[in-house]
Amino acid sequence: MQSIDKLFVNREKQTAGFVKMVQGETPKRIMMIEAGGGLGKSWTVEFMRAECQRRGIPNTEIDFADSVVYDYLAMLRRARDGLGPAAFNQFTQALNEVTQPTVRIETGTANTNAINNLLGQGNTFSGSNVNVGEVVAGNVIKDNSFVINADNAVVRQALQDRLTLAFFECLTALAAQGPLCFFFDTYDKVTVEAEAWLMGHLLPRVRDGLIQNVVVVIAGRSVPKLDNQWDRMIARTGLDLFSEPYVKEYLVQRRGLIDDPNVIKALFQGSTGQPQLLAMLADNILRSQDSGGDDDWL
Amino acid sequence: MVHQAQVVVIGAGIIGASVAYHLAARGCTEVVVLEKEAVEVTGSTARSAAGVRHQFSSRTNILLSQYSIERYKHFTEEIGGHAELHQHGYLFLFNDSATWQAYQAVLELQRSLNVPVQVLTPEQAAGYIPELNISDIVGATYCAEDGFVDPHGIAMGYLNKARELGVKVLRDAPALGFEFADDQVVGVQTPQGTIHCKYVVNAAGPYAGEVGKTAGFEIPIKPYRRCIYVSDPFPALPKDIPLTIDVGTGAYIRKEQETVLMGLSNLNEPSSHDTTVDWDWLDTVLEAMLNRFPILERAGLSERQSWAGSYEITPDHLPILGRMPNCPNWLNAAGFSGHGVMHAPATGLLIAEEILDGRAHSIEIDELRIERFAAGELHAERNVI
Repeated sequence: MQSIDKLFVNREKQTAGFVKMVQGETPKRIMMIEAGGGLGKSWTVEFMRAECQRRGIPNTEIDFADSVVYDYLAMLRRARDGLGPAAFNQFTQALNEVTQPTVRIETGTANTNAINNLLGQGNTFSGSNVNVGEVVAGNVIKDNSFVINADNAVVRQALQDRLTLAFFECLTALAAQGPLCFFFDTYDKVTVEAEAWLMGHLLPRVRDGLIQNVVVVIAGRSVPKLDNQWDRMIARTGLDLFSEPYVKEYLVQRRGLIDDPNVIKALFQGSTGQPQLLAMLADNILRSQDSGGDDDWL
Repeated sequence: MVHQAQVVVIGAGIIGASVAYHLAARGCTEVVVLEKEAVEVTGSTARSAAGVRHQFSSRTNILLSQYSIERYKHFTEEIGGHAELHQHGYLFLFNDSATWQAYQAVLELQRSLNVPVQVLTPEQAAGYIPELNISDIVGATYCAEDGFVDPHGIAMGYLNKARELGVKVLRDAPALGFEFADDQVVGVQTPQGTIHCKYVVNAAGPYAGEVGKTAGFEIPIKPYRRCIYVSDPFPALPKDIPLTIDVGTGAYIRKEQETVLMGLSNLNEPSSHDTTVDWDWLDTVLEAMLNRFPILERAGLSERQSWAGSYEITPDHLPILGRMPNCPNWLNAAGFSGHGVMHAPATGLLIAEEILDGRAHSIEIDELRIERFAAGELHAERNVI
C-alpha cells in the first residue's frame, strides 16, 4: 500500500501553511478547512499528521465521523492518548479520582460512633473507598471507568472543570517542550460536549496565547464560525476541485495509470476533478487491469 | 499605570479574586483588580468565620455550595494557595417544634439535590458535642460534607494564579467614579487615573452598595457588623466537632485549632462599616452559648484574638449576580449575606461565563439577578446565621 504522501497532489498551499504554523513562522495557530464532500479534507488532515510524524511532533486526531460518542471524557482521553499519556499523569490521576467507584457503607446510625464503639478504643472506622487506578513506574496507566461519579449536574460540572484544569496544566507543560497539534475532522458531526470543550477551552487558550506551540486544524463541511477577534490566529482555507494537470499528476504519477491524454481527459470530465470520485475511478481501472483475480478459485 | 483593560474588578476579596482568576483561566487576561486598601484580602474575606455548607433553604444557594465545595477539595493542588478544607460537618439544632416541622420541606429540597443531610435525634446530636444541652432539642440535622476553609489562603491562591496569567492587582486604588457612554460603563476613575474598560464587576463586598451609588445605581446591599469571639485554647472540645448552630438563638461554635470560635448575630444593630469587636454584645452571646454548650463554662475568653467583620446583606439574604439591566456591561457579584467564602468558586465561574459567553450557564442565576427586587420576586434564604 502506498503511503499517503505518495498519493497526495494539489494541496501544497494548505500543507505549506500548516508547516509554517508548526514552525512558528506565522502568528496563525488555528487552521479551518471547510469544503464539501469528497474534496479530500480527511486526506489533507492525514497528510498533515504524516508531516507531524516525520517531524516528531506529538499530535492527536479526533474524527467526529468515527463510532465514538465524544462526550467530555472521551474527548480528553483521546487527546491525552494521542499526545502521549506519560505527559498527562496529573490529568489521569485527577480522572481516576473523579471516576473511581465510591462505596458508601451505611452504618444504620447517624454517625460512625456506633461502629467505633464496637471496634474498641484506638480503632476508627471512617468509611471506605475503592480505588482501582494503577500506577506503574510513576506513570498512571489506567482509568477507572468512563463515567464521572457525581450525584448531580453541578458536582459533575465542578469535576469536569477540575479535569479541564489538570488537562491544560499538562498540555501547557508538554507544549513548552515543542510544537504539538490537534486535528479535528468531520467537524460537521461534532457533538455538543466536544464543541463546548473546543470553543470554551481549547481554542480560546490558543487564541489568547495561554498555551504556546499548539496548532489546531479543524476540517469539515462546516467549521466554527468565529468573529473577527480570532482573525489574527485563524487561517481559513477551502479545497478546490482538481484541475486537469492535477488529475493527470494523480492518475499517472501517483497511481501509475497509462498516460493516455484521451483517458485522462475523459476521467477529468467524468470526475469533474473531485478527488474522491477520481480515486474511485482510478481504483476501478486498476482493478480491471489486474490479471490474477482473487475469484479464480471459485 | 494601567489605562486599559477588558474587565475591571472592584474589590480584591475572595469574590473579586475568584472572578479575576476564572476570567484569566479562560483567556481573558486583560483584567485589573482594584483594591481600595494598601493590601488585598484584608476586608470581610479575612474576617469571615469561614464556614462552608450545603444546608440552605434556597435551591440556588445549595447548587452554589455543591460546586464550590467540590472545587475546594483540590484547591491547593489546582490553584495554589491553601484552602484548608476541613469537612467536619455542620450540625443544626432545633428547639422549637414549629420551626422543626417547617424545616422538613427544606430537608426535602436538600435531599432532592443529593445533599447527604441526616436527621438526628437529640441523643444522636449529643454524640457530636461533649456536654451538649439537649433538654429542649426536638430535632437536628447534620451534613458531613459541610465544614470550614481558610478564606485568606483561597483568595490569595486565586489572586496569585490570576497574576501569573496576566491579571493586574492595583492597591490603594478605590473606584472613585465611573465614565459612561450611552448605556455602557466605559471607564473607572481611580487615584492613579482612569482605566478604560469593556466590563466592570462590582465585587466590593460590604461596599458594593456604595460603589453602585457612585455609579448612580441602586444596589440593595448594606454592611452589618458580625463579631467572632475566640476562646483561649480549649482542648476539652475536640478539633473535629462540627460547626454547630443553635437555631433558636442563632448562636454557633466551631473549633479553630485549639480555640473555639463563637458567634451570634446582633440583628438589631444598624448598618455600618464598624469592625471593632462589640464587647457590650458579649453578655448576650455568652448567655446563649452557655445554655446550649455548657462545657464552655470552663473555657477562657481571648479578647486579643476575637475579631469583627462585615456581612454584606441583601433584603432576601441572597447574592446579587449578573448584569445591571440598564447598564449591561456592569456586573454585580456581591451581597452574599455571609456566604461569599463558601460560594466564591461558583461565583467566579458564573461571572466569567456571563462576560465571556454572554450568560451564566453552569448554574441558573435568574433568581439572583438584581431585577428580582423591582419585580418583588423575593424568596429569602432562611438558613442564615
